[in-house]
Amino acid sequence: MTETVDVAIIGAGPAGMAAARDLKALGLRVLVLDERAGPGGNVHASALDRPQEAASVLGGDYARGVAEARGFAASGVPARYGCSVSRVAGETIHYLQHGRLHRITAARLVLATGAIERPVPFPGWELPGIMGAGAFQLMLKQSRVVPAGDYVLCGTGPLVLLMACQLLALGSRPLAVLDTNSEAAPLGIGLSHLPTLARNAGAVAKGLSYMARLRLAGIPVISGVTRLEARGSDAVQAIRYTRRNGSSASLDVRMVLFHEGVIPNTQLGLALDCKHRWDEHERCLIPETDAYGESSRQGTFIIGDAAGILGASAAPHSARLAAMKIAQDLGCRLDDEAGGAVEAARRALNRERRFRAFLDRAYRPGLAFAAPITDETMICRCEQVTAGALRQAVRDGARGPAQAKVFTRCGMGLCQGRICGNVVTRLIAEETGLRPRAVGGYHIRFPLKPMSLIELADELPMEEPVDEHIA
Amino acid sequence: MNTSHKAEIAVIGGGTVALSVATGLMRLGRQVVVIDEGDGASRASRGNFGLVWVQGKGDMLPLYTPWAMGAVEIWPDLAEWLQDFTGIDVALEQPGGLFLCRSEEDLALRAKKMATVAQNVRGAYSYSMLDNKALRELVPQIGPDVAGGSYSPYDGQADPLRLFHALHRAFGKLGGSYLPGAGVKAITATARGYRLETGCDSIEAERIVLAAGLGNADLGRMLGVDIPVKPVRGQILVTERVPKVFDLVMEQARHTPDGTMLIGGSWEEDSGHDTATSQEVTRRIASDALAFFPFLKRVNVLRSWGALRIISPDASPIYDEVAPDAFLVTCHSGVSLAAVHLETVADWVDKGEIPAQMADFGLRRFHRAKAAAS
Ligand SMILES: Cc1cc2nc3c(=O)[nH]c(=O)nc-3n(C[C@H](O)[C@H](O)[C@H](O)COP(=O)(O)OP(=O)(O)OC[C@H]3O[C@@H](n4cnc5c(N)ncnc54)[C@H](O)[C@@H]3O)c2cc1C
Ligand SMILES: Cc1cc2nc3c(=O)[nH]c(=O)nc-3n(C[C@H](O)[C@H](O)[C@H](O)COP(=O)(O)OP(=O)(O)OC[C@H]3O[C@@H](n4cnc5c(N)ncnc54)[C@H](O)[C@@H]3O)c2cc1C
Repeated sequence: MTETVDVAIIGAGPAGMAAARDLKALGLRVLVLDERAGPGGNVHASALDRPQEAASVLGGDYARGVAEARGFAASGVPARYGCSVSRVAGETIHYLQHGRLHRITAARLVLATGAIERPVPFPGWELPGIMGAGAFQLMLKQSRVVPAGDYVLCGTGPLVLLMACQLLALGSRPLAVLDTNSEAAPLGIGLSHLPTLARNAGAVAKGLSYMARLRLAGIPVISGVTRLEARGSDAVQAIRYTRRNGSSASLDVRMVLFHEGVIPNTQLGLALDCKHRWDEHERCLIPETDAYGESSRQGTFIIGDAAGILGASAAPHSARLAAMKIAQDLGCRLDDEAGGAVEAARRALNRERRFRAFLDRAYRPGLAFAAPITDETMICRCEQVTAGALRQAVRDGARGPAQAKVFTRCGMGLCQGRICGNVVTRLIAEETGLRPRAVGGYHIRFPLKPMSLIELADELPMEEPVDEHIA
Repeated sequence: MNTSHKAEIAVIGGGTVALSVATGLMRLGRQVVVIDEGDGASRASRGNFGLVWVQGKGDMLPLYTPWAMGAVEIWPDLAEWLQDFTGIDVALEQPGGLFLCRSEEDLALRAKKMATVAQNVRGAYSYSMLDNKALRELVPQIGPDVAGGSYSPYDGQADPLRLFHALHRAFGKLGGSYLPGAGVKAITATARGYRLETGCDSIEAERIVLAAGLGNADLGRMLGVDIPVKPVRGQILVTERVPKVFDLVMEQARHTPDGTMLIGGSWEEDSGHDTATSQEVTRRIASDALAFFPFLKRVNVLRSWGALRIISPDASPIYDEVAPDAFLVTCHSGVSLAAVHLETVADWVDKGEIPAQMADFGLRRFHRAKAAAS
């Protein structure tokens, strides 16, 4: 017999946890599934295996997140970890846990699948030794590894500065921070956002204090970087950067940590044929949702960063809006306070949106948005397809990602286009003169993550799925 | 904005069949425009298994067997030409092929089908039915519980995506013009041929070729002709890269030149136009695959997909001049038949006279069948 709940929530980050708590409090049966080993999502990864005092080395935000994840684990909201959703069909969700397929049915589905780091192809980015600063930060949080050998941090946004400070605190020194922000005077922009700024003074002050700490430690912050090129035969050996004034230089490094912000993780929503639109501002696909987070697929809600990047502090608000709507749909009796809660969540979310608009303008992904992509640049790392090969596919008649994919194998590898999808849309738009909206994206298919034939055949004896309440 | 175009021949459709005929016509010196739908259109050409196949074809229409045999015989010339002309290696291999049967029941059905085909063929036709022992002598990796299978020396494979790409490139390189986007919405006869409307483009052509796969049913309606093609879905799995372990090509699994394996398939007659995959069917395919090839147990599946076959009532091709200067070309096995589509079929469209070996592939056979049934 298939297990049934009212609401299944995919993702146990800040958004998923908040939605689950709200829905449970409203009397609904919920189940949270996450592929990680515990709650916390991207920001607070592996929050539970870390003693509280150790967490504080990584900063006050992280410590608060750890507390939140602990609270969630102790709250008794049903959640299963190590569960990767492989297929959703109608109301049935198939997922793998410990190599076994399980399924549940749920009247409503909430996707709280978070964000991925914005993939930014530059020459040599496929070399070993180059990785997302965010991905490295997850390792840092999990096992406190610091880079071996000389390294640089590159990119734009608070994460790059924060990480530089976290690494300093752990006794590790980057050679430099290469700032690719294409916004020459972020504080100039700030003026038109004064009211927003005033309300978010804390966050802004944080950014300034990171800068001060780096300066104090003597780490050069090189601004106005407009091009990067990594070199090396088997692994990265040097990173060459060009600045806005035309000057360029090269640093010998063993590692490059790169980050130009995050974009929504849309894979599951795309696989479910939820409508997405191309966001000109963020230059990526974003799901279309209504004011409560409901997608074009009725009964499927998308919340948190998966619905558009607003950050961890906005996540509970979008979670609340979805929870209230779901509760109403499923016939819960809502008291008078509920209306107020919805209004409050909406106001809070709008505040977060204004702050995000400020951040987005203050930190422009210079490489992703402004650097031309050379023909030699690898676009699909899984299948080794270059920008030149994609351009040739367009000359051979491809007008969109589906045809370009069968002409080149771009997006056919292990990640199934998760990484190259948005870049391919942009590149084809540039080559054809069509608008990205008209070019569209890849068609994502199940299984969402690779699974072995024996798992798919599902011929192993049945076992009960494991609920984990980590205390 | 409506742009007008003129061409001698307009080929409607942008799959392997359309591009084969269009490229053949360009080689004959014709001036051709190909009109296709947009990027997201459903295309069997992007989702098929890539067999270059003879065995089993012709059980419902005996003529089909020699037609398919002729096609695979000249396929190597096509592969060579594409390599030289476009630089794309379509990875043709013709080592012989197997059809595997998991149960005794399936094996008996297969034996019957192959016997029917062999009986109808005039001239040589070689195949053999194999039991488990004989199968495993040919391919030791096949599982012990597989009942058996059929073998044919004519069979092989090519990479269907490289073929599709190479045909597009060849067509463009020969100077053909490709108009993708909206697809043909209306056809009107004119004094000098036909006018086709897509909503964005208006195309005048002396001759038209209906080669739009499942879209041919609609195109037929525009001309007042009943074109009986319907979708039959097939689901396929693709694995991560695995070392090549067998040379023979199998209808249920094959190595690709890129190192992955394709595992198939299903035959779903009630699919309508839905290309979705399902848990049940992918599970069944995986389960069969493990019975056929136990060594694949831990191999990862990266993706599954569904694609729609274009099936006529006898599952055989239809070639017919359905209205003056309007040529219908449609089939299920567009990869297997690609070489004859470039040669014989293009020649027919060029000259307007149907050669003897194609004469009985017309729509009339279905009318006859209908009349006989009533
Ligand atoms: C690498 C990285 C580092 C970041 N670092 C910071 C930071 O230091 N500070 C900060 O404020 N913000 C950071 N962010 C942004 C931050 O993650 C988000 O703002 C915040 O976590 C949003 O919460 P969420 O619940 O929407 O998503 P997330 O926290 O990302 O949670 C999504 C969860 O969904 C799970 N999931 C996804 N797909 C599936 C599936 N198919 N099956 C099962 N589970 C699935 C994931 O495992 C994950 O646990 C980072 C983002 C990334 C990608
Ligand atoms: C699962 C599966 C497995 C297969 N395996 C094999 C195999 O192993 N070997 C083999 O030989 N064959 C195989 N086939 C068959 C093979 O894929 C097709 O015969 C081949 O792709 C040719 O298809 P087509 O060009 O006729 O149609 P399609 O590829 O479907 O293309 C039809 C084209 O017409 C366009 N179109 C439709 N309507 C219009 C319109 N009104 N105006 C303009 N354009 C229009 C469409 O957009 C599309 O581009 C398989 C098919 C499937 C589904």
